[in-house]
Amino acid sequence: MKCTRLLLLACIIAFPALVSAQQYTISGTVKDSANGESVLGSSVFIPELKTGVNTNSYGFFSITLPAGKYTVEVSYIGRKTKKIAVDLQKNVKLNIELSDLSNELEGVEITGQHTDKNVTSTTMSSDHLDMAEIKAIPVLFGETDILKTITLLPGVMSAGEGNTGFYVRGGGADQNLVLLDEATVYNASHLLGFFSVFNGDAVKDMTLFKGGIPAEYGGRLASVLDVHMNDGNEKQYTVKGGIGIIASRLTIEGPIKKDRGSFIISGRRTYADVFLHLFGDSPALRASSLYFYDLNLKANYRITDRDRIFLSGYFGRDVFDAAGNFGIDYGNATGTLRWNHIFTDKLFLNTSAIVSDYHYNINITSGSSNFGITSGIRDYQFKLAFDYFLNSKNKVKFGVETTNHIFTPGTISTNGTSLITDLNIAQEHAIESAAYISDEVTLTSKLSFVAGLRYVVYDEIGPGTVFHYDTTGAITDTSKYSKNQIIQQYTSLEPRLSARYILNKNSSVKASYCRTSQFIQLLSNTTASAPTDLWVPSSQVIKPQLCDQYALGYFRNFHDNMFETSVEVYYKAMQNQIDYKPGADLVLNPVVESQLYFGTGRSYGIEFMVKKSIGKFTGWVAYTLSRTERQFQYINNDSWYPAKQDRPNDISTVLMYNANKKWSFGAVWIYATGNAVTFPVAQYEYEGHVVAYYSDRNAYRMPAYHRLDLSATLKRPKRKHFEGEWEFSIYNAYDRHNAYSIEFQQDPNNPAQTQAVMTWLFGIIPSVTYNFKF
Amino acid sequence: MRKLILLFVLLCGMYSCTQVITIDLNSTAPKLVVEGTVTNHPGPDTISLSMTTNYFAPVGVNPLAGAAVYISDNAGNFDTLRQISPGKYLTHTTVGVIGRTYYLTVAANGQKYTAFSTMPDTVGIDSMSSAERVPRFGSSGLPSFSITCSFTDPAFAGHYYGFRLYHNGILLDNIIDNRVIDDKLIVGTAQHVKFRNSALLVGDSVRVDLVCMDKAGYDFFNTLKETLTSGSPFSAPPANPITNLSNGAIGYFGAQSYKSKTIQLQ
Repeated sequence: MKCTRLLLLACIIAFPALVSAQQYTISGTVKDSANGESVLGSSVFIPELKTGVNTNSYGFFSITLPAGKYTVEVSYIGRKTKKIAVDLQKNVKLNIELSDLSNELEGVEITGQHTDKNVTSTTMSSDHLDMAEIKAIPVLFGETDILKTITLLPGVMSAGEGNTGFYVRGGGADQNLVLLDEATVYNASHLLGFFSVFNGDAVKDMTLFKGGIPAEYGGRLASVLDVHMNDGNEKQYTVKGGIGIIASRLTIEGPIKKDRGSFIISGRRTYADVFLHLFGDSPALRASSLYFYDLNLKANYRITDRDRIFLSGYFGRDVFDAAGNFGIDYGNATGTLRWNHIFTDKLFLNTSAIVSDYHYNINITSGSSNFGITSGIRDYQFKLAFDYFLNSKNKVKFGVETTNHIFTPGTISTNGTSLITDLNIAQEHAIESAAYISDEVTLTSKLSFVAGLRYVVYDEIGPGTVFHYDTTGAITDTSKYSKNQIIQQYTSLEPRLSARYILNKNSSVKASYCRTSQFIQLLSNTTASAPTDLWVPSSQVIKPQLCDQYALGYFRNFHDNMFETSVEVYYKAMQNQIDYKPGADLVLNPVVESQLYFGTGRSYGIEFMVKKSIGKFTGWVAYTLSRTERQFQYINNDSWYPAKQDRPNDISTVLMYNANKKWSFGAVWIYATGNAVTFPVAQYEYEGHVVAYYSDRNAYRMPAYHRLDLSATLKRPKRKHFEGEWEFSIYNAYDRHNAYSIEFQQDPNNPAQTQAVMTWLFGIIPSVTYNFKF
Repeated sequence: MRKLILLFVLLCGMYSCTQVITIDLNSTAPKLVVEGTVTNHPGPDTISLSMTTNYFAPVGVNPLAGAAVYISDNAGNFDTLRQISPGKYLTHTTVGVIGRTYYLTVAANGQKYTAFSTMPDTVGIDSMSSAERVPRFGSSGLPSFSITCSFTDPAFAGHYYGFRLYHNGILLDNIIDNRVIDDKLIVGTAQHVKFRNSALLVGDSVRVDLVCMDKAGYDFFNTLKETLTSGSPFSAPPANPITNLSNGAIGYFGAQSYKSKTIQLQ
């Protein structure tokens, strides 16, 4: 309620601006001059009034000002700032094209690109990364991976080596909303998490919200990772690709009609199985297959100056087949159809229809028997999102959305003689609908805030059978529900508030509060992520997860914005968190809810960041000191214990050096406290077996994790239209043996003695990739 | 399935290596371990008591001698067990009757520990068959046998099964060495459970016990199996088996019924 009042207050404050003298609107789009890609989140600033807006997710902006003479300054990281003089005596349309800085890096003193967005923007706890920045960072096997890159940001931690899962401010890997062109990506990993589904050639940019999450996003507790695909080159046809040691990529893009519409097709496939077939000498190995592929497709077209449609799709699949004995394939498919419509110079509408699907199939053949398992989740979503650039002091966003989730927990189909009978765990259905409104208010030149409110209605609907359990998890009763009958309804009112106060030219303080809720959760009780992890809806037993996050930050830039620094503290309280009973059976269990424990969680920490994004030498150092704990009635006697994602110390250092037109270099060093784990502390014998007696949950730590990666890029001189570059990288340059797991076993030299054996995955790995473009 | 996923990772061409490391584990106060059953067959039944030892201490049983051990039932019987060797306690008068609930009490070190279990009805083995296994290519030795044991799960749910294998009258595989089955997914169907052991040779006699236990027994053995195989990244975080003993003791006391069948390998 407090927030509605705030909104009202904001409108009242804004009102005088509405009735004052002649007002005109400057609106338009910002594009890249080379390929016509919309530039999202670029700053459009009016220095005379010290006010401005950012372009929205489609590169559109609008700003309303009193009549007069102004300079419009348009800037974006890595692009040359453009200044346009405008004599505002009527509404003005500006279609601005920004050119790339890298073409003129050498020798030329570039002015104007110094951005103080770090200090002046109202948002905090968020990071925006452009693909050009991401590509400069060295990675495993030379495969650019945005999910690996974001783990280098403060407050974001990798879920582990060879795992694209990430933890944001103590949230679990399933508490991140991962969006690709607005469609939810349910499993962002390939090869059990060694690679992410995002093909670097198809991605334009990404924004990560760790806190102060804007009201237009909802459905996950900890963070939002909003990834945009490239729209395709509007100016000319280009082909680019890369040949690496794990995978190769090929992208074709070009205009459908010059400056009006474009398309992009981007594919990637691994070829480990090709080597398997070439070098494997057993017939079983030759008959096996192992690969993944990604295919990104997108087309857009401006039907009129006010209407633009986008169609984007992603298809990816992992296939593994062990010579017909065991096969698993899994993957995501998403499709987004969007229509941008500009009603007036101030009112922008995006309408989206989205489909998202994740499922896996397992096939097991043993002798004459054969059985297959299928499980997954599918979403159908519809969204209306308005951007209303009311005046220079108010930017309003509002919209509605509804999602139909269809869960397929699992079906088993059998052939031949099998111990297992056919099983079909009924599909579950849920509808999650939301309405939101937010207003970004520039109150004075020093104080601005974004006040937002999101209201969510969640219905678990029939058909379905609901089991009722007693405290031990035994079924006491069942009730049946017919189609579309509401089984359980939950609502959630979520205030989102962030504010910024500018202290002086170089520094500001920001604060935010946000409440988030999550109605679907991933059940996974293994240490590593597996494709068989199961998404389940909130129900009468599983209450929706809730999180309240408070954050406070101090932002200061030095040396004419050359160095950006920030310190943020946060506190999060989480309700209805899930953990698992000992020996919980999650796969194909019709009564999976009986396997869960429910408790609370908390996370708090402080994040330091120093970043230099200008000059030959760029990079950042991020340090996070945090704790993430949970409290469950039946775990560790109801006392707080460290969560899986608790890593008190986390350091990421990223350095990039652009030596000259030919050579550039990169280095990454990371350090993190070891995972909290449960170790055996005693032993006994039972039926002749030596059995370990384990400590309290997560009472011990793995050894600390640290690693140095290096890379060097050699650009070949451009010949005609052909550009080529070599990327050399060394992963884990000082060959640190980071523990992936620790297991305990008999000492082979002394069978009466037990010893601890650590498994590590990657030693030093050099790799080379060749990228081309023409 | 977990093993298959692990195989999947190994096949991914990722190389991994292992090395022995030193880990500092705090020592904990020893805990009482109970291993014991009451069966529907003539006794005496055995209750074994021991104490846990430090994890990195040499492996070996640390028996608990001199405890006071009692078994009573809901029919009003009371039995004081006698110790025959350190940590081994035998029943005197206890008789296992289907449907009866048995209560175990252990008094030791000034503490009292209790557990109870209800003996389920038996399920009989319909038939047993054996098949000669062709030795694997390249392996030498005599052809061994696999045994298939068939039984029919009753029409109502709530049955929990375990198996014991005797080879020429000597216990070869105990319950923990074989599968334990919850009939949740197989209610009322015919089951064919296969046992393989390279020790099974022509001319041998093999006896299979089809053991019926209560849910606590299934939970214990199922989670004990998890505990024995845990530690891999594809297993759940390790936890101690679910015990039915009170007061921090670990292990399992169960009332179990079983029926047996014997086959000669030819």
